[in-house]
Amino acid sequence: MQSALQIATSALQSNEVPVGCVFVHNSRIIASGRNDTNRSLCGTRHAELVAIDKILATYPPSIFKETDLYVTVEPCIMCASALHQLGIRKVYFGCSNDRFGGCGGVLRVHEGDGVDDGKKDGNGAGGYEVVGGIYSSSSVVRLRQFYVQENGRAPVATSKKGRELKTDNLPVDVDIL
Amino acid sequence: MQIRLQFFDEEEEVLLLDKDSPLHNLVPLRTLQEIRAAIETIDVFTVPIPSRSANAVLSSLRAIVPTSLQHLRRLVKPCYIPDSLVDFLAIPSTPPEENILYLLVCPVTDISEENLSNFLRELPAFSTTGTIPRIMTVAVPSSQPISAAQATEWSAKYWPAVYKRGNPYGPHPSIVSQTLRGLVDPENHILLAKRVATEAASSGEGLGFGAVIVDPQTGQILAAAGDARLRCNEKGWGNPLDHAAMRAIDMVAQRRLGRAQNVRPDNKVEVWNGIYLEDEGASGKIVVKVNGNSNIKNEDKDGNANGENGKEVDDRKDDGYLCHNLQVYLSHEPCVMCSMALLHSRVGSVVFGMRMTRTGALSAEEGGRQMGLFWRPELNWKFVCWQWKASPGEEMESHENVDA
Repeated sequence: MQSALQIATSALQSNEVPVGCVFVHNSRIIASGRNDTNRSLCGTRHAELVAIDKILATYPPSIFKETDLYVTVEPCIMCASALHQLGIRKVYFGCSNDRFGGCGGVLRVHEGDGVDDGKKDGNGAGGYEVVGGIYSSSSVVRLRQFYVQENGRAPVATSKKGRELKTDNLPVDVDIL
Repeated sequence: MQIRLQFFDEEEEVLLLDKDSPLHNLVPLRTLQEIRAAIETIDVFTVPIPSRSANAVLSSLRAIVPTSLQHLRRLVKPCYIPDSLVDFLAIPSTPPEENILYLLVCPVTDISEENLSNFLRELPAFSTTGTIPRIMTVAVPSSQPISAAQATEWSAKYWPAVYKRGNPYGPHPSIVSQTLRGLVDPENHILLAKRVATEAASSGEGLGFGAVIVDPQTGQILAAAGDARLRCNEKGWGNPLDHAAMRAIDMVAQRRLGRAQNVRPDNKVEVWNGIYLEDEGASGKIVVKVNGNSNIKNEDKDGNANGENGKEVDDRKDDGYLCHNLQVYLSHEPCVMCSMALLHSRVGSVVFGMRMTRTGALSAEEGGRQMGLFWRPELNWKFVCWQWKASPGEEMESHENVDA
């Protein structure tokens, strides 16, 4: 998770939303990713999908069944579904995402569709396990650091002069690593 | 007090279509909230009161129960009580010869029947005549109607309802008709999406799903992509996430990136193998780019890099951000991932062909996943969505158990 946080920090420096992730297979990091939406002008280039593309360049899709994801922010609904379709084993995340989290923040995509009749392809209906709250305060601070920066690409730039970095009222950490 | 039962507070904007207009094939999706609003009822107290005391009773009540349920008539003449309630609410013929009105008091959760009864009994309207207020419980729709038609339906079924212009549970009717009018040649574009789907399937590189993205400002097709999850890389496997919509979104970004000033020319860009179309539109020939894994950037049909041929039609000055307000045509209802990708990309409207009851994430109707992702208050973007009803015999293969 500390690696994921480092990657989030590097995203911050290149003016991307600071979310970082690593995929771990047999105790080894097989890929890392960070948000790349601003550079790519593509709203789907989230950290998870960037890393997934890297993994698939080297490993077959079946590797995800024995792979865990560590990501600084709860995967969004899109990524949660992508991870489900790939059959990820387990997801550890930092802070939860009440704007569009797909692992409990807004929807519970990680639980699957609740129907497991063996008909569905891929991972079927079974969901994957998620553990949240790991280094969540560090993850939140990264995000808050970003949102006091200006986002030059945002469609309607709002003034952020009045914003300041808040470090109070952070979520409770579960530093189990 | 004058009671006016007026259901049509405002004339609803109605889009008049020609009898033969292809737009008749477009069925707007109902949002999750609209569907819930259409079925949820709540128990409320109602009391018959003498009409001359109506105002006094109302203002006294204000002190003890909050005013809620603004979408329902507070005072209703017996002649407007729905048929289903008439017998239930019938007043014994004695004692009152005078006119009575039915007062909708409040939800049963706001006050106990006993407290309400005691309170009413003390009011002059009842205390002077010595009558006992007859409190009854009826079920009424808990949220406001989303159209004049629904208000009329509810008025006949539950309780006289008021349609206030607007729609708190989904796109305002005028937004829907305005967006509908703004759709660029939906028939051809949905047909193109289906054609791309068929080609994806017959190529063996993907399943039969297709996506087309159109810029409403120029009418230009920015991307047309088929599903490509079966396309193997040199290692021998495909990317299970190479869905048509994801690829089309990516292609739009690639186009924009090819022209963005702030990107260095040597920046490596991962390019999807995809289909780009001539500017003439859906009827034009499909130009298939077979570019392997090379880093060709968005070449047009003559091999010129975009931006060098002077045709910068898709590079809009106001915003080149994501897929802001673009129109998306899909052969099938997209999965959760693709639906959310469209939302993240800020698309303006989506038309899909075949509904995917097992995996689709846009529809909120029963018999599916009921996610209604296109319009949810908790998400930071919303778009208008239609299903294109195919004529008999024109349906696509359903692939119902697959994420499209």
